[in-house]
Amino acid sequence: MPLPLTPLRAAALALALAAGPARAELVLVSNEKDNTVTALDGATLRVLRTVPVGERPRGIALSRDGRHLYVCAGDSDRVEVLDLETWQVVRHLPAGSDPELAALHPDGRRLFVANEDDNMVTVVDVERGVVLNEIPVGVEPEGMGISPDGRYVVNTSETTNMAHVIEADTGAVTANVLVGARPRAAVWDADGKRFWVSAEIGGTLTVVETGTWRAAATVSFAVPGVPPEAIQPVGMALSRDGARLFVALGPANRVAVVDTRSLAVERYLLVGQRVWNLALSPDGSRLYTTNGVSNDLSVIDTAGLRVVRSVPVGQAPWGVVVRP
Amino acid sequence: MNARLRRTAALAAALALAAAGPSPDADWPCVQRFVPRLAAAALWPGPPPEGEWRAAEGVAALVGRIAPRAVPEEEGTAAIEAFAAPLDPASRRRLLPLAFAGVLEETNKQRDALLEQIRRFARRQRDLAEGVRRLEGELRATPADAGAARTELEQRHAFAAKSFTDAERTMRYACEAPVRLEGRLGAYARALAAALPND
Repeated sequence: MPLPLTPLRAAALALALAAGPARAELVLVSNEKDNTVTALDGATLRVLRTVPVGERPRGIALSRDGRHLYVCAGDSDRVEVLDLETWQVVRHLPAGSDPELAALHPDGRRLFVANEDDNMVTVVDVERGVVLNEIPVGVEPEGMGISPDGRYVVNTSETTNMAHVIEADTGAVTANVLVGARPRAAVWDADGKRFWVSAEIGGTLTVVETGTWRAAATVSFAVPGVPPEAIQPVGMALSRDGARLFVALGPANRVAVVDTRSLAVERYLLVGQRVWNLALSPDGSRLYTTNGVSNDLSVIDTAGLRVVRSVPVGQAPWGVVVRP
Repeated sequence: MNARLRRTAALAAALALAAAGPSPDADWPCVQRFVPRLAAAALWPGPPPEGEWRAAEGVAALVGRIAPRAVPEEEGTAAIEAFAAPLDPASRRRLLPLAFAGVLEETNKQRDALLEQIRRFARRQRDLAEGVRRLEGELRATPADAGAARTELEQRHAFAAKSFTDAERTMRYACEAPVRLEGRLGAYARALAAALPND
């Protein structure tokens, strides 16, 4: 039996293996086709372990204390709670059918789960393991973005082409905003004044203003030589200072770097195949991308805007989060 | 939702989709968005090829060996490494981009054939869906006490619905085939790029 990897041991391992300054961060990746979660050491980019979870794991989210990982196992119709010290699935949360994606409310307690095949957002109390609310939304709910103050949850629905702005406390739908075709992720600016929605088929981003809930601007992409159909914006991550938005462009195999003030695309970085989701390291110096067709993780140096490494993980990597 | 209800709902939804009227791309049944061709710009980080790959020494043979669909990725990348190993830097710089152009062209040809198969399959699936709906209509029009005629109709309906659901499963699998081809091409691109000289 391998020893459970405590944060202390992980840190010791990181120190032992790293040539440069130690990074204790843990990178966690869900592998949709393997039914596993891969844990990598951020310092060495070595795979520490591969943990079996439920079927078709996609969305993953960390508990506020970083001890647990919530894993949406869509084909098992549950959200699993993976203990990151014992590496065991310790609980299942009742989360409706086919959970695809989950976002934790800043209160650390309410997990908002998108149920892809029954057009619901399920709100689960992660401590008590009970369903608090079921909110009917558009067809094939998908992305989930919670405002920094915790007041609003934005849910996108793939087929309805809308972003639904939901009051987190009541579940009431405040606004429905028409966005690009097959919207995926929703990400808020740190000041909560606007949010971004990516559209996989539309090939665009929509910027929505808080309060007026107006689509204020759109961002388009073009990569010379790449068919426009291959440009499929999905995962997004803001830089620490909020000046840049990184956008995964699916089978264009690019991460776009968008200036959040001018909305100009500064750069397209070539990464692995079908880049889907993104996560920033805690210090903001690195961006990790899951590449679902090449089965690897690309590592981007965010200061130099260079792709520095590619690390093989499981089959069809989908979600990625980083624990400090 | 219990499992049976869910299956019924899934069938109804799939039937509705399969029978849906003309959409921008009605023949394309896959969840993956239709992308007409694989592009060098999405995969190749090296210099552009110069010349015709079929005319370059050894390149056509390499492409012929690794491009067929049945060749596993590991076998193909090993062949690329073996091809590059004896070459001097100048030859690598010249021949490896040509080899990429060759596998790209051949892969796109195979992919085109797969896409056409998927479209044909989708058209047949639409016909199957229409058949199921027609039988549903007949069932509704047949009184419950119609005896053998009704039993026979019920059996035909059950058989048609099963054929449809089985075909849906096959279709999801078929939709993965172009993705696998794309994945192998990416692995070839990376193996070729890794063998380029470092300057």
